[in-house]
Amino acid sequence: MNLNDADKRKLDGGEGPAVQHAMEHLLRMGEAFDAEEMVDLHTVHCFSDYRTVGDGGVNFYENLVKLGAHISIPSSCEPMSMDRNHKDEFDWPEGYEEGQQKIIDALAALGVQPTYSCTHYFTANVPKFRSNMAWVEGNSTGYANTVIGARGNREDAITSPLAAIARRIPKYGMLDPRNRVGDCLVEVDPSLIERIGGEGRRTADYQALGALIGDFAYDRIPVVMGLPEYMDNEELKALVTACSPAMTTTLMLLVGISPEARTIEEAFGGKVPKDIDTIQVTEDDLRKMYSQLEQTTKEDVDIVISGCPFKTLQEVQEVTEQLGQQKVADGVKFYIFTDRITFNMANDMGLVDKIEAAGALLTTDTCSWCMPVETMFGPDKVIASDSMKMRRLLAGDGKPTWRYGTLTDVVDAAVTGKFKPSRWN
Amino acid sequence: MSETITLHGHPISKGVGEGEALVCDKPLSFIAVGISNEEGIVRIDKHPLNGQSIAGKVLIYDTDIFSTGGALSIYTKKSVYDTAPAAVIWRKAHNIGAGGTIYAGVPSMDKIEEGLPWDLISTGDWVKVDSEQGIVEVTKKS
Repeated sequence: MNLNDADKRKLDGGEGPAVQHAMEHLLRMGEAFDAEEMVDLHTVHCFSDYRTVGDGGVNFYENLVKLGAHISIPSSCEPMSMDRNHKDEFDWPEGYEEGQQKIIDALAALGVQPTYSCTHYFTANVPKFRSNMAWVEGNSTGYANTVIGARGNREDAITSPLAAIARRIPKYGMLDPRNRVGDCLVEVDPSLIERIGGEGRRTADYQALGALIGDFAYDRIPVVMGLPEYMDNEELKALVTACSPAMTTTLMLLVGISPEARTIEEAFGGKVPKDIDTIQVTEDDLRKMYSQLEQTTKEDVDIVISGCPFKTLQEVQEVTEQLGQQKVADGVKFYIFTDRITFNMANDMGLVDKIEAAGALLTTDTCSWCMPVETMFGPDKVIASDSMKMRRLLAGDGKPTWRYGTLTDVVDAAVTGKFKPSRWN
Repeated sequence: MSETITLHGHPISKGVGEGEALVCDKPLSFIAVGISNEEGIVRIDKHPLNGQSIAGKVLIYDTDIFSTGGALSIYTKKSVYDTAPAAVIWRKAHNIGAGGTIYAGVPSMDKIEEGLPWDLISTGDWVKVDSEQGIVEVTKKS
């Protein structure tokens, strides 16, 4: 790997032990992926929830603080394991609050902006075209690569803060423009586009479409043809949610939308390869994806979840309107997830009062992924959600059972206690 | 005498580790919700390794999926609970597994030249991964 003089100085300890420690790891990462050089890092987004970070992660962060590390590039952090304004709402396992507090303290000492958000790219840490990123979050890295044309892998939880400390990162994967070309093709059927999305449906529809694209692409970069000419931020956020957990890569080249895919030829690096692996996605495929995301036909639900990825202010307005004057049924919990910036604006608009009057809860800083749902919700619970991501990440032995539907479906489930899927009949 | 074969691959995290192979051809996540930190037992919806412990095994799977926090989960398993695998072999390394195994000091490799790793290694084989040399020695289960 070619290191410049500044890199060598950092590696030799010329900028202190924290930068040296970071550079040693980055060099090994670069060698593992055969990177030729490092590039400047412009923005970082790192982990903060105790559930994911674990005790090893607490030690990792505290060690960085001890080494004198400081993050000076634009930064943000993922949601944490708690909504500290609603601590009593949940039954926390022993030691969780203490573990979480250690991470909060370490991130503050490192100088990370306390966004506690997975949709920070709309508010407090916004990259530009060709910005180099070390972001750990799938939907945000997917959005920034796909919609903005910023460059970054779904960086791992260790390399991300270390790259920020060194302000450098190996030029590998999506950081190398040579790799930012499509290697499979998705054609979305026009009759599907006529029916997809709309008020109360866009999140679930576009997350399910994303899952179809992501499952097909897996570790490749999909070029996607046939999407609507204009898609709003929320629709694009829902679509790229598939950058984890469906795809292992983090760039969708959406022809006509992505800045690096103005045409299909550009998306493939100049010429569409012959015999490119192609799928057509139809309404029937979306119907099948909806039923694949259902784990049970049981109508009675215990918990309703919406807001993964976190809700934008527009989406908080949408769910407030969907709730209207209705009340959440006795015995059902309805959790809506967003970040503190959006919460504060929603509060100023009176939306938080309306949501609480309906018996639902708008949380800040956290989500069901970051909380220990096995112990807090229990494996015998049925959850209805419009999030493909939550459904896929939090299923399996010892975890709750999921139903998947549109926002309208899950709001109805919260109000009646019964989940009755309306989509794609 | 058990049959022994030697394979060649691409080093990710350098070191030497050996153990009994635990093999699948599917992606996997080290995140605590998928593999518990305390016991190292897989609990992922419909996963072929469900219920099995990864601790001390030479773990073979496709590549990393789900949360990038999996890197810190490898480190937590290695440094706090001693439930990390002895070594890892992927078809293709992802940053998640690479970052985690490199920082935790768990030897790892990808791109086995002789073929797909799950076609060459079976669960129960004894496997020695030498990623300093880029060599894997497999003693087939008799």
